Amino acid sequence: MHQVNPDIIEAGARSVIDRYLFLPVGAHPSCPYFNNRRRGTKSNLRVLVGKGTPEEISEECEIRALQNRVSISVLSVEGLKEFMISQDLGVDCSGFAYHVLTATLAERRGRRLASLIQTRRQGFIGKTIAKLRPAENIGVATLADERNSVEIKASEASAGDIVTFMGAGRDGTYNHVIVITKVERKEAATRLSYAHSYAWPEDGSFGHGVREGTAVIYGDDLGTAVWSEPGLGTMNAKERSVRRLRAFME
Amino acid sequence: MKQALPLIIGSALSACAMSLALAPTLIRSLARLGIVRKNDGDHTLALESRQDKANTPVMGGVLVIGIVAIFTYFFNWDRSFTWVPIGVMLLSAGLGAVDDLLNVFGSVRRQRTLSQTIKLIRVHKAWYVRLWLSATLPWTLIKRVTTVFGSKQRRGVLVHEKLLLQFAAGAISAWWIYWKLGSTWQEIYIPFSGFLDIGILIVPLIILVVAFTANAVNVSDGMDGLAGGMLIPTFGALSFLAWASNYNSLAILNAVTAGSLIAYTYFNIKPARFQMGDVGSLGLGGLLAINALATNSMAILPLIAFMFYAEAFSVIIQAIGRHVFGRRVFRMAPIHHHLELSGWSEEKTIMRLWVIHLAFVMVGVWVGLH
Repeated sequence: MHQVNPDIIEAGARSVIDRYLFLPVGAHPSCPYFNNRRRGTKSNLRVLVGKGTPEEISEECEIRALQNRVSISVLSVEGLKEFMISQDLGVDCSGFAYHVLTATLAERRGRRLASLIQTRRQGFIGKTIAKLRPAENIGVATLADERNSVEIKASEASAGDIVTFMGAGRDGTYNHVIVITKVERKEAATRLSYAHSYAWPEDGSFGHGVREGTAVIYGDDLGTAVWSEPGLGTMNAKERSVRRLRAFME
Repeated sequence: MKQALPLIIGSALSACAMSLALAPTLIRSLARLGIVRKNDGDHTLALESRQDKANTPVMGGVLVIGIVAIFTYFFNWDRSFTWVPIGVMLLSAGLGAVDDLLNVFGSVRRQRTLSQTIKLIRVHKAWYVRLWLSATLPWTLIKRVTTVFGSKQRRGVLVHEKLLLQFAAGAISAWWIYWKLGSTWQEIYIPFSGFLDIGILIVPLIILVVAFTANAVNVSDGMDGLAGGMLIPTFGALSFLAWASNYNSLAILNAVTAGSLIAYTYFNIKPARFQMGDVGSLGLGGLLAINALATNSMAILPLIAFMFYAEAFSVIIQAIGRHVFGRRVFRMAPIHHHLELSGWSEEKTIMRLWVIHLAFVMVGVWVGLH
């Protein structure tokens, strides 16, 4: 229940990340990126809208393979990932963050993340839907909401904190979130290890998905950070900040 | 009472013998007419262990339905008791037959989503089409909502049509029972308590129980021998309970059904020579519901039809899990597919479900005797 080292994410959350990186199916591919924004699927399995756990994604992959008469056991890592992408299986950034943070909170405080997050949905029906389907309703905007998280200095970041990128993309409507998994401090520099799910243009059709990276920040200015994925540094987000969930603070 | 027993058992044996004699001819005829299970659009056939089921003759349930109807008409016709069950069975079986035939010979049916319909209402150039689509929008909504209980169906009678027709069949039966047959059929026997006169409420209850039970047997008919093997003890139990209550014509009707099912199951055991089809499962499900009512066994129906109800509830639970909570509860519904996907062989799944069902049927008989 108690965090041993605030600079390293809990073992349970680490295990969730590892299972996304090596899905428990076939040749253990990493989980692809899938965002339901384009498909617009509603009222369906959460695994089909980019919000599934590694187990749900793997199980759905097995079921789809049966339905499509595909033998998973003979597929290579790339082949299996290609099949998953063809079936719209994967996880988006907030779906990934939700499951990792849920595991973190469960281990740290023995609580459910969904029960401590304030939904942005309005009205009785909206709030009920958010309660019934937390993974689908806890997006980046919800995590970055002042009621759910507070901005902290980058130098004060610890494992389980998040970095949010709000208002990115061509039309300024894309948000992104990454989860900090490890923090190392050396003089004025802070080295953050993180995990997230994303699709960069250079990933092509099959290279995207859950991945890990590092960022070295000097001082507290995120703008000066040196990212192992340069795209995160050059992302044209209107607002980027390191945030700590209130759920971890209470 | 004792004197009726040889007649009841003799009827069952006769039905069994007649069915055994007719089954091979029926199998050949179904195959010759091309009434066989199609491979396309049937996801359950994707399982490696089930691929050999394609091209198996369907509508084998015609055997049981036909034998029961003919036997009853010639040897056991009783306006107060056997008329209604046979009527309900034939109505449900007729619906099932249409579904089976459309599944085999029908063309792929296009299903428009609600948003597509709303878009068409806005943009269609013909005003009368817009008017028609607007007027039928509630129906389109019902159509979409009921799809949550069915798989992605391409041919045959769609879920909403099936439900509507089943409710109509139930309503006709309920009307006949309530207004034509008098008080005998308007009471429900509650074990350990006695008769309960629920008056006009019997009408919606009959509609609900007939439709639900028919569908429950229908969803259970997904593995070789499963539904047939479970229906034998169920109808056997109903026959026994009817005999114990001195309803001899109903005891014979149930015994004949059980007898015919023995022969059917003999040919339906893996590898199946034919499959029941909706004609059999919907017909026998309807017959089961109405016979339970007639033999004062409606209260114990969840026990004597335990596995059928468990299968039906697994489908409902899966639909709720999927559409409300966004998660699968079972790997595949109904539950026999879940067990098979969890590693049980088809034979193991069927036999274990038979045994579990038999145990509950025995509990049901015990409760029903009180």
